[in-house]
Amino acid sequence: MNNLIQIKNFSKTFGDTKSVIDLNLEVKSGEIYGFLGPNGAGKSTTIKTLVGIYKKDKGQISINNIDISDISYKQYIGYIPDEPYVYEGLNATQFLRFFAEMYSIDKSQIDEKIKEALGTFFIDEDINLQVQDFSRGSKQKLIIAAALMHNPKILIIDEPMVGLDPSASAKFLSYMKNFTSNGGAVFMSTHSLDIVTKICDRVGIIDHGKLKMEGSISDIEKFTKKNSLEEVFFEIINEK
Amino acid sequence: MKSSIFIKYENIANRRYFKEKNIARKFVIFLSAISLFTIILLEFLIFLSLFHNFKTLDIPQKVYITLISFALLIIFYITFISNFSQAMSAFVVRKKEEFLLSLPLSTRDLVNYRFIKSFLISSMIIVIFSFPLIYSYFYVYNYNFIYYFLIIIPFLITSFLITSLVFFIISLISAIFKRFNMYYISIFFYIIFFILGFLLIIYYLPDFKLIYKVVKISQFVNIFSSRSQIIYSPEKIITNMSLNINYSYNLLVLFIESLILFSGFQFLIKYSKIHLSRHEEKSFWKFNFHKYYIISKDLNHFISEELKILNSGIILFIFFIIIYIISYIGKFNAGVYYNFIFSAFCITFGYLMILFGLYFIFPTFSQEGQSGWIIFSSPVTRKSIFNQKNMASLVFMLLHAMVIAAVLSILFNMNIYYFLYFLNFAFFVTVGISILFTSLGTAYPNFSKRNIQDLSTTPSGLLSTIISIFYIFIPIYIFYQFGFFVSILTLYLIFIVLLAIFIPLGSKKINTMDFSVRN
Repeated sequence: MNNLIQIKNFSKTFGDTKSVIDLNLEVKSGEIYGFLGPNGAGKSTTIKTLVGIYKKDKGQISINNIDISDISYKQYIGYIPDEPYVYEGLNATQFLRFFAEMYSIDKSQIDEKIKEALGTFFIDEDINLQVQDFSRGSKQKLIIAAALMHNPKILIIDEPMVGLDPSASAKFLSYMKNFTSNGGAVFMSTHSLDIVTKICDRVGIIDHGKLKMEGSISDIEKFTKKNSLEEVFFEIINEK
Repeated sequence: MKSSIFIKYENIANRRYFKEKNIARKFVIFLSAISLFTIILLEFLIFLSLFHNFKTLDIPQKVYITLISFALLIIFYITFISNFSQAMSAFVVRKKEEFLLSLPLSTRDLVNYRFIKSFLISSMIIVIFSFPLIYSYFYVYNYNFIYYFLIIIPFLITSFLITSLVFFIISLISAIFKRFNMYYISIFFYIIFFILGFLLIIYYLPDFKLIYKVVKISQFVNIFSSRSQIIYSPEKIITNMSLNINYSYNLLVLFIESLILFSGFQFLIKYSKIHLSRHEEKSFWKFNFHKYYIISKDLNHFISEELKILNSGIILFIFFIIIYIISYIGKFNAGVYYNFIFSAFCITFGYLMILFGLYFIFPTFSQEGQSGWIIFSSPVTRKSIFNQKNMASLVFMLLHAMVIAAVLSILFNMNIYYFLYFLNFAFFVTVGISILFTSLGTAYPNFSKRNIQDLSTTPSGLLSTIISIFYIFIPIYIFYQFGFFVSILTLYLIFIVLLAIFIPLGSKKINTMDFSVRN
């Protein structure tokens, strides 16, 4: 299995605050990687740097073996933020079309892709309504649909289940499983230890910008001699 | 060209806004269009009568070159600074826009898209203010119809030049300082604009001074003819071209100037690895009133938003120039026209307060936006929220009003009679407008819109503006017709009526309102 995400000695500072310090991690194809940590630990900074929102201060980051200084890597990622926002004056179809054009999807395929995307996450709202009139959950579903439309190889997700109802959550979890079994990779940050335990192949725990522990859940439990990921997590966090 | 995709979809979103079956919105759009048309028409009529008078007096064309180019210079200066504040935001990524950077879209594409937007806005400002001036001149002097079309080209090039200059300066700053802090940069440029504006006035004011001593037309002509001018500046090229089509070759100079600046900006964006800076809330100082935390929050929010400070500075500055010129005229006209000039002075002051009210006070409640639930769910009574909003607005408005009023009373060289009137007028107008805009802004909020422009054109925004215009005009008219005491009494009376209607309205509405972002 090849590495789809590779981070080496990555550091990021905002003013006097060191947000991420010498981070090293890899995510292989077929893998769901859960990135855990308390608020302000550096999870979102890492994710936002991976997708190009922030610039790295130090280190090397490559996605699908392309250094992130080369913008072409973005074609391989699908990003789902915790708070979606783009042109709320558009309706759902126009919103998805905007994404399709941004990702240079072949014009002849756009309509079909939109139909498929709308169907996959059964968006309940009237698709002719403006996005600003959608509920929080429907907005989130729409942003998930938009992120998947160009068939990315890697999904980068910040808080995947925020705003989703139980049935949409279950559907999305099964989608992620399916996605990775077809060779894709998922890198997600979350506060939900339940979700991590349920679907993640490997986990990284970050605190104060430093990666404190990494490995499969069973390896981590074995190594720390704890009964659950929750116990491990709290012990690491309490170390401070 | 991914920038074109942005433009396309923003257009779709904007068209939807206009097409929506919302009667209030349609009414506002209609009213805005009518207002815009009236402004252009009024401008046209004023310039038309001015040029007609000049033609009757047989004033030579040399004078027009100076007059028109001075007017254009002012218009271009205003365009430049408003474009600057717009362009500053092109290099900043706010929290809600961060998502755009995750798309396969280069910084260059994103900035270029914002460049096009800025270019369109500056072209619009130039068209609204410059075309009535130039077209009325063409009309009075029976210019060939071809001039009406040809003159559009230099204006478009000038708009391109201004936008390129602005983007070049900002990209140069971000290339040098990499992750520059918008807050400090905006304060820095705010000071630079003031200095530039003062230099501009000092350069032209001696002419105004001499005009009052003129007894013969020949003296008047000499004053204007003696002005030295920069030959290849846009305003000079345009005026020369208006006089003689053979000067059109100068357009090439204007175009080359723009191209050099545009290429410089493109070069910097492409090769200097400019990364759009994050919007960080930072300020030199912080307000901290323990008990009045909403006032503290609002004031801190205001001083942490560099664009608000810049806009406030620009409005203040432009009006300072206008009032300064009126004051200047007032000094030389201590006679029958003094009351008239003093009235114009008060109206301009009042208009400035309306603008501040509309842009900064009216939206304060709506700008709680999606985070409005915080104050609604907090253990603070709604009445207290409303009172604190009123207090914050008053602090902001009085701070501005006091500075302007103090400086201008000295400049205007008022005697005690006028000074007392102005003191009363300034205080009651400021407090009245502040309460009116806060109350109507609180009574009819729109939490889904954070854009100031959108909020100020809502029906309640328009209503506040119309009421405050009457509030200013009625006492001034009475002052002009019936004198000091009747005017002051009217001012007090309207003030009491405003307080009696709008404070209970705002208070009642906030008490019964349901917080909802989806409007």
